[in-house]
Amino acid sequence: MSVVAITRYGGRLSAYVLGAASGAVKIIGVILVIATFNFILVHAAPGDPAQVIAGQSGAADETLLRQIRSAYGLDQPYLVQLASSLKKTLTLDLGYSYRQQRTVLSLLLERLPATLLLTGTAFILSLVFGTALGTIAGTRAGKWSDTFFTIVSLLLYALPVFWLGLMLVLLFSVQLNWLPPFGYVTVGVEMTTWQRIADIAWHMVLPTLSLAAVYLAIYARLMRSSIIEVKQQDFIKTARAKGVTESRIVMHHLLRNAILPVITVAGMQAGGVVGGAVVVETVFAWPGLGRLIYDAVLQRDYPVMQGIFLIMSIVVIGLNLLTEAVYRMVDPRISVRSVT
Amino acid sequence: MTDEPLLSIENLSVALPKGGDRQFAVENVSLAVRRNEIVCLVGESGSGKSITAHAVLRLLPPGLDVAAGAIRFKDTDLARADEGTMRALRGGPISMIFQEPLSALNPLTRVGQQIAEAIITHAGAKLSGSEVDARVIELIAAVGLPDPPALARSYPFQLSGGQRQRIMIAIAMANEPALLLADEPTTALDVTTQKQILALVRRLQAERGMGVLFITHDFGVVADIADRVVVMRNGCVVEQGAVDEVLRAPKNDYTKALIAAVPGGRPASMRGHALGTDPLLVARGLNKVFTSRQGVFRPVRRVPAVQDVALTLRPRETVAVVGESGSGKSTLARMIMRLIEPDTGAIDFDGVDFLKLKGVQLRAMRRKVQIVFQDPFAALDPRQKVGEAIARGPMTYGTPPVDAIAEAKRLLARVGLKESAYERYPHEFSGGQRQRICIARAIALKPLVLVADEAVSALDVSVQQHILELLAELREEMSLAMLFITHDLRVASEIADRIVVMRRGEIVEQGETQSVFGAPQHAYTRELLEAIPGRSLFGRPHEPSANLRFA
Amino acid sequence: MRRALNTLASFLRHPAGVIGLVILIGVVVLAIVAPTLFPVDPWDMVAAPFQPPFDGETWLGSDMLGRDVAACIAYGARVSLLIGVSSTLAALVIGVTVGAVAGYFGGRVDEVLMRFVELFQTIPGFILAILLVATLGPSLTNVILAIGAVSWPQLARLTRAEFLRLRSREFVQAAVCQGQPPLSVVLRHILPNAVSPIIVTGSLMIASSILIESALSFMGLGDPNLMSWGFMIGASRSVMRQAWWMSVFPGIAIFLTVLAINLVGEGLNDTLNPRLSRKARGA
Repeated sequence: MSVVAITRYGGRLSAYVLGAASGAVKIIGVILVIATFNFILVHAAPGDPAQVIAGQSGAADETLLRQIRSAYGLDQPYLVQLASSLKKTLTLDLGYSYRQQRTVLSLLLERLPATLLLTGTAFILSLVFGTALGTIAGTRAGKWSDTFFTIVSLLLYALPVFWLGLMLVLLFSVQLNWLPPFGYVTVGVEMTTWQRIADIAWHMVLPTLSLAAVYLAIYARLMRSSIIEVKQQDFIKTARAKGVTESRIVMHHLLRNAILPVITVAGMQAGGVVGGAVVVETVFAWPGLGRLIYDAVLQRDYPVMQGIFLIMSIVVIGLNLLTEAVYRMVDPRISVRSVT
Repeated sequence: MTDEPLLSIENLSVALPKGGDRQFAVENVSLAVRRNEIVCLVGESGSGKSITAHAVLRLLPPGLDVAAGAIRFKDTDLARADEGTMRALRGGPISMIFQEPLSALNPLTRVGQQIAEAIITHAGAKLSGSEVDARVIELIAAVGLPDPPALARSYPFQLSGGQRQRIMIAIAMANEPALLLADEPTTALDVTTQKQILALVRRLQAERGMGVLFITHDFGVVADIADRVVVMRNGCVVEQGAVDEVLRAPKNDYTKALIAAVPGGRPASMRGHALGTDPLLVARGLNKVFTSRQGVFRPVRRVPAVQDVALTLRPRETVAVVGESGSGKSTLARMIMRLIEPDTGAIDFDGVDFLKLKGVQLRAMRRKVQIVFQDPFAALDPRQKVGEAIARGPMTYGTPPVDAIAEAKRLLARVGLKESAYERYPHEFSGGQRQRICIARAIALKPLVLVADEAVSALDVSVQQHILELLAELREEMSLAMLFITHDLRVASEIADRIVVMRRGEIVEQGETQSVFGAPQHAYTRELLEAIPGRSLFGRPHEPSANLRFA
Repeated sequence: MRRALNTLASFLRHPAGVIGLVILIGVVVLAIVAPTLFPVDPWDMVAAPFQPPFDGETWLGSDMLGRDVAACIAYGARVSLLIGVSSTLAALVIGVTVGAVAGYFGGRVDEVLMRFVELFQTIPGFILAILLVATLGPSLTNVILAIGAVSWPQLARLTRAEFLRLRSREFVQAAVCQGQPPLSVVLRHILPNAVSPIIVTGSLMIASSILIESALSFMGLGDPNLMSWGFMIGASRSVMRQAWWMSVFPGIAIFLTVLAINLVGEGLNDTLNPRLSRKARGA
């Protein structure tokens, strides 16, 4: 016997409210766990935690170390330290970068927009084109266009993101000189707002392509197999038995049903996109959080690294919640969907 | 009834992909459906009945193609018509309904829109939006659903199985078809729902003078609904004719065997055994509520599956628990097996409080109650040799492997398989053979109680009959008490000494088989009995109509 | 035994899988014979700096310090395969254990473990790996642990789903009714039926581990004593205009290795996939 929930229709609005509430709880939970993890990591690192926090910069400077010890309460019991660091994190006090001589939060907020722009664009592009290619391949399963797209996505899927970026630079910037090899905007030129937007977009082409390629391949493969699976379901036969045209079957029955697993995976992959942004920003000197973490690694600037880890995690949860909301819009059965 | 056939299938053959064990799925089939009649196409699984119906609308699964023959509908040969012509016919003059109404509806679209799609596809822009809406409401009312405007706005998952099938019928009726193809439309439904849907199809057919080609495996359904019958076996037509002729005086041996195998005709107690007096198993006050959580903020859902059930089983007695889906009969069986833990209650079994046992003690007791499941394909480990599956049980209880293996081979022979089956894997056997293996596995432990959970429901009638006979024999040989879970009252009437009727987790009536069938006390029991298909011809169980019993 | 041979035979009927297997064997052989083929330490200067490839002195050119790119690639293969395999093994141990416990016991245990897994899956894995290696120090062990630590949730989820699915299957319940103790039920009936998808996912995970390793090395977080492909590409960035071969060849090495493993994984999936064999069985 089946235990299937039947949520009546009026429940839909309240489902949104519940979704928002559980999203907020999720974010706070993750913040707390990451803060705890960061705390443990600083103490697990080899050497004096104060030196870890100071980074390579001031490792030898005894006054700085004393200052850090008192600021972080490093002489107090672990639990007290943990509690105070959790409290600080919840109030978005992410500490101070002794290397950069600034609070970590201000540094992160300055870099966040560039990262959001890059990851957001790549995420949306890969989803749109990935599902489109997957649909073409899936509806033509077995034909040459399917084989072609399948091979292309298999190849794309095996490319290291950073290497793809470098190869694109080698081809389009070094050889052909079509596109700028790095940066966010042309420096030292007077521009109107529109010119500036166009300039940024121009700089974005290569980084976005490098980041989007792998995910495009993932979503295309997923969409293809999903389409093939949905194609065999009874309701497609019903539509055919109604006399509905093939193109309408694809648009009205196949697509919406087939895209559901893609949305789920896209939500789960959001962390991967954000991680990929780190290497892409490093390759293209894109002034976002990824580039910042690369510099922080070189300088062993732990407060910055940990701050980025926290902020990026929040961004990922944001993307998760977004995909969940989209799923809810597409699927009226949302309340029957289990966690797995 | 006019003589002019509406649909005429002439020498149709449908080819299977090359390399299979059969060349044709359907071979040289000829049949006709006239206006205003219902033709039943009946056969067991693999008979090609469904393929024949799908070929009419050219909705064959990929890999299957019409190889020869003609399918004439009015003036068109559907076997040769182009795709545009076919599209105009599908859902217009010819429409079709399917077996599984949940998967046959798009889960993401409101049912009203799905009906509207059928109208718009054929009427095009001739109808305004409000005219389409009005027609949708009219159709929903015509298939007997309450509150049509609200229903039009609901999604398939919000409806019951019967409601979904009515929506499918509404879609099929959208453009006043001349011919309706119905592919096992009631097989997935409970009997009481089946009865209503059959009545609905009958009514719509009569009102509109439609021709209906109705596919089924159940001769009871045939008796209830058909004007004419076509019997198929292995892709070929073996017999056809008016329903009374075929059912009352079948000419073909296969048809005779099939009709004789319809359960419910053979009396249960051809038994000389005395039932024990002291109860072997007494269950009291069993309750089970399934709970599930969807998220931190969502309320816990509670689905009561079994409520305050008491049950007694005497030595050598067979008790059939009957009920429709959701009645809690399977949950009850699994609680008695200790596969599901009841929330409250007690089970006294062979002198111990079964529910109190844990760990080693529980495992020691388990051998006394064994189970045979519904789906013989899911019940055997695909990676375990079937002989091992049988021998493993006794070995767990300390039988030396040599003896356990010899005993397993003996049991394989006893249930009608070769001893050499020991070394083979489940996928090499048919459904009926697998069910025999499962029975051997269960009795290898020499249990006191055998629980059969819908053990014959997934099988074709002829196989069903043999398995029932085997179970009855083993029951006598091994002095088994049996708890027989089934949704099919006809099957229950053949095997049970006592009947327990369940509805929504509660027992509504129980008693001796004769008295429950002969003089049902509860309204629900009567409703179930009324809903048994084919009563007009086959009679009610335990009062078999003599005219159907031939040698 | 016959079963294993059958599996191998049906794998060999899968052309993409065979191509992958051939490339993969090539990479493994390269890794094994690296010290014979290139007896000199890959860190040593063997040629003039910036020698272009196919030029006689070296096969694939030399870098800015006169190191042999081909030798570096051969030694890099050892590191990539070693890290790919060992971090996947680490992830398998953690993931399968957590997933099996959650799936078999269900209830509260499952709920708590799965919250934990979900959390790990939400966190951007690559950044976590960076943080772990940067904090604990860029040694071989730490890199393996960091990659294992970000990869296991996928296997835990998969194992749990398989265990949940199989636990309620009727043949498992039949084994319980036969009186088999829990451990026997798990080892005899659940695990053997769950192992195919775990093998497939595990083999694909080797590829993704190699990609993570190369990205870490590219960011300067590889073991500084080991030559690796990611490190080579990272080092080539500043001289990309003069010496394209320094970045192109190691990248091709990563690409081919990852592609080969993915192809083999897909081949395995098609061979071991129960859905296909179910279709072949008919009914």
